[in-house]
Amino acid sequence: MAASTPALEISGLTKVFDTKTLEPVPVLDGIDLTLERGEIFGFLGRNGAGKTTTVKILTGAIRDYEGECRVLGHAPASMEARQGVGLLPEVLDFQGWLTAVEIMELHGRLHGVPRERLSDSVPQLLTRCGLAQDAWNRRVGPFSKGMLQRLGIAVSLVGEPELVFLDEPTANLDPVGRRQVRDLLLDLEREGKTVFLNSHLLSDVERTCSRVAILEKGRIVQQGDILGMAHVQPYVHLRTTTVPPGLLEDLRAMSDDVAVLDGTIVVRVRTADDMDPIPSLVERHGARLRYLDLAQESLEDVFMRIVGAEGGGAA
Amino acid sequence: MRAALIIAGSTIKCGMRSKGIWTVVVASVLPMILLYLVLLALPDTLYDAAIQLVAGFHGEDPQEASDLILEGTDDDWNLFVTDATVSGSMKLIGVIGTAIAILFTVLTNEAARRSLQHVLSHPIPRVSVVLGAYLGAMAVTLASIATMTVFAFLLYLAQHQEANWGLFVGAGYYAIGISVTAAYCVLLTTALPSVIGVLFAFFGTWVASQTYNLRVALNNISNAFVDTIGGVWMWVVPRLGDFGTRGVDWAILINTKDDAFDWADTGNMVTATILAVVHIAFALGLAGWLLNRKAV
Repeated sequence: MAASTPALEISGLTKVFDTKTLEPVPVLDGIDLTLERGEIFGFLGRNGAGKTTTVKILTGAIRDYEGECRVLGHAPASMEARQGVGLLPEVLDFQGWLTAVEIMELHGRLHGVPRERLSDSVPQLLTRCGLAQDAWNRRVGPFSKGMLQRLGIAVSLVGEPELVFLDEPTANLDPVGRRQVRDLLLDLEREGKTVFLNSHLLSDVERTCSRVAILEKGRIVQQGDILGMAHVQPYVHLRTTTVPPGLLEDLRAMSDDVAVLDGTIVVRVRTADDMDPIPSLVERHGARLRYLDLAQESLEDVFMRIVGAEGGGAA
Repeated sequence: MRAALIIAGSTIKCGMRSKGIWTVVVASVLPMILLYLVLLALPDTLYDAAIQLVAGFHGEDPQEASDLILEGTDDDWNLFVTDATVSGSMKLIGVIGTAIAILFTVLTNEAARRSLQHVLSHPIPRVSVVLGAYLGAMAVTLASIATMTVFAFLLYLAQHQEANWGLFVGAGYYAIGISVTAAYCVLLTTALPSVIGVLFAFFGTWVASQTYNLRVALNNISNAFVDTIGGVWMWVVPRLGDFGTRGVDWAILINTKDDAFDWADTGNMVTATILAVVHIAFALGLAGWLLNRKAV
């Protein structure tokens, strides 16, 4: 497993589910993707876009597909590949009769981690993932969704993987939990681990991932740096005591994209420097400036723009 | 094998802690219902052909077996039919019932798809998942076996002041039967019937002791197959008229001797071995197939 090989190499990945009665459904349609080691990669798409199918292929659950996939330099279903992989599935369904520690030990041992190492790493991981200590030795059946999610994330790391697949890791978590997971992801990045992150919570992706791919109807419609995807032109948001018509005319002279939304004037500008004359313009028209901010297009804006254009729906 | 043992260990742990009932219901009730439905629905020509097939397999003449019954005394008849019916039918129940129980459990349980993805992401062979769950469930049913054994001893001792070893083996066979189903329940993370299984074992043993001729159990090891469900079977069969007769016919043809199952008899040995192998192979094969499907 040479460290020089990419963590993931996917070329022309296609998966068709044959429903027997209906026309074969292409879930994945020629995906090309490469993940370098040590990066946190966001894999976005609306429900049914094919994200989970991709993860199932890459973690060896689905073995029947077309195209080329290499996970840590090996075929996805191979022992070598799975040895280096950790997984948080989208839906967690642990054995309810086992305790959190027992589940950690079960998955750790299945992954080949020696018992003595587990006795140290299990408490560390449970702590790191924010599962309260009084829950460690309780059966997980009555656990809340948030507790299960924290346990699931810990389980995904118990095999000391190089590459971690996290399917909706912040789902079911409260704001504190989401923050902990984001911090954990950044820790993993610092430790040199590679993270493949499926998430609907685009703000989390935006704060943790360096690169993303947007999947729509089985095809990657956009991938690259988040900043590169966002519109180059930023927006200026301003609120004034009044909105004189002359002010809007002057602003429209500056930009061809000016709108008033709920009392906030939104002006698309070419560069941040373009906002400099705005305070004096407001003053000239007899109004007072209450709020002024420069905003870049968010990942959510990018996602909606791209996915909306592709399918016309929301994620 | 190591992974299989790990899974078996967690299976045992889950099994000893769970309180499910569905497995027992499915594994014990549905098989009998299904067998009757099959017998009822079988066209006469197919039925006759099947009789000949089984008889030929044993090198026996079905008519000869029937004549033996007709010529015997009532006691002989009762003894013969009781023994033959329950021991033979249990073999069929084992195969058919297990299949139904597994399918019923698997098809109604969405949990499989979810947990399997997690387990299969570990660097372990797929077969170890099936094998581990199977072994684990087998071990879990030791509780049932032990309970039934103790109960059988107590019951028989109370009646006859001597032990009934047939009940011991019968309990074991029955426990193995339900363990196949239980294995899948654990694999699919549903409840395993350790508690209810023990209760059911009590009930089955009690029924058997009330209705079965225990003299046969002392003389023939094959009677071990009948001592739990067999009691229920013998209560049901006479109440089914012609339909019930078919069940008796089948059983007689599988065990054509009045001393039922003679281990020295090659035909019986071959039958028992084939049925056992088919039973286990079918169960494991089906599990593997379902595992692959559910993983997707």
